Amino acid sequence: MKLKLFIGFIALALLSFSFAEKGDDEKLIGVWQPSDGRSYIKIDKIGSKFFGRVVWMKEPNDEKGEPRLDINNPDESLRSTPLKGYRILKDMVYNAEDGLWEDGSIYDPKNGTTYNCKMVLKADNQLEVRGYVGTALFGRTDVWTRLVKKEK
Amino acid sequence: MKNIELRLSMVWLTILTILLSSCSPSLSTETVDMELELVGETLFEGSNSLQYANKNQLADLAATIGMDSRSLKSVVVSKALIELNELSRPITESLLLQVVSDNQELITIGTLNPLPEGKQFVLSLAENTSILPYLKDSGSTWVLDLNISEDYMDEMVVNGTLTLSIEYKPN
Repeated sequence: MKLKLFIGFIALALLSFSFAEKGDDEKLIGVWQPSDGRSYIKIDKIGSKFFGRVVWMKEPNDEKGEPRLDINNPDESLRSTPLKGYRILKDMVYNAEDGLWEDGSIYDPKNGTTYNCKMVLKADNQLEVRGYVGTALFGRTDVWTRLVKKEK
Repeated sequence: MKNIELRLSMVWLTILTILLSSCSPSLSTETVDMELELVGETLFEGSNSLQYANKNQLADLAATIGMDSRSLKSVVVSKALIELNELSRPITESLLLQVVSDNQELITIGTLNPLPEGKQFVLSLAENTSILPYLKDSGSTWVLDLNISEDYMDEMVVNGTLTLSIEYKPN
């Protein structure tokens, strides 16, 4: 009887642990606003990795009134891609041990440069995004804010 | 004396290597079509994603040309065709096709913006469209990002055809 109770307890503990693990990595999913307030980035999951694309831009059109394109892309054949909808955040993998997302990249359309990226949730609705080249020691950090529905 | 023997044996070894490599069969090329069925639902105006997950892809592709998957040396997308239907065409403004797998990063295969007249679109291909590493993974996901001009509350299915240029070593 004691053995059955013990096995049941272990199974329950393992089950709740696995639920907690799944929930943690998916806390990244949502719509986020970088600190400059000029865009919204929607982060979702494809397979086991996380990706973010531009879903709103403060200035979606250029001076001529045409939709802004990825004109700085190093691959010339891709420069006609509209920035609205562009997937600037790619291949982020959750590291459960350190509680962060890493091994991915973030693209800056202003200069066509792709940086290594890692992200940490500082609070439920605050995400620290660090872009860097080579080692994470040298880079730039931005804080993104999650868009949440206003309570009535 | 020993030096001369050593040099002679090196020369023989080099000749043997050249002979062996010249006797091995050279690479052959074949073209195969790969069908994609990209699906998404409840799409809101703006940017959206359709996806198609693929499994056992390398073995299936190799079987198509009657080869073992180990004999495939390179697989490159040489053409990407996307076909919209009478419901999706009027509201679709741009197309961006990408692929990702667990061990490979997401890459762009092709893009098209704006869309010309018609329902079939050949994408402008990226410089690197080599997908063998993605096919080697247990599964890959094809992602079609598209901007739409109005909400689409039903399931949207878009068909794609990739022309793959396969280099392989004949048995």
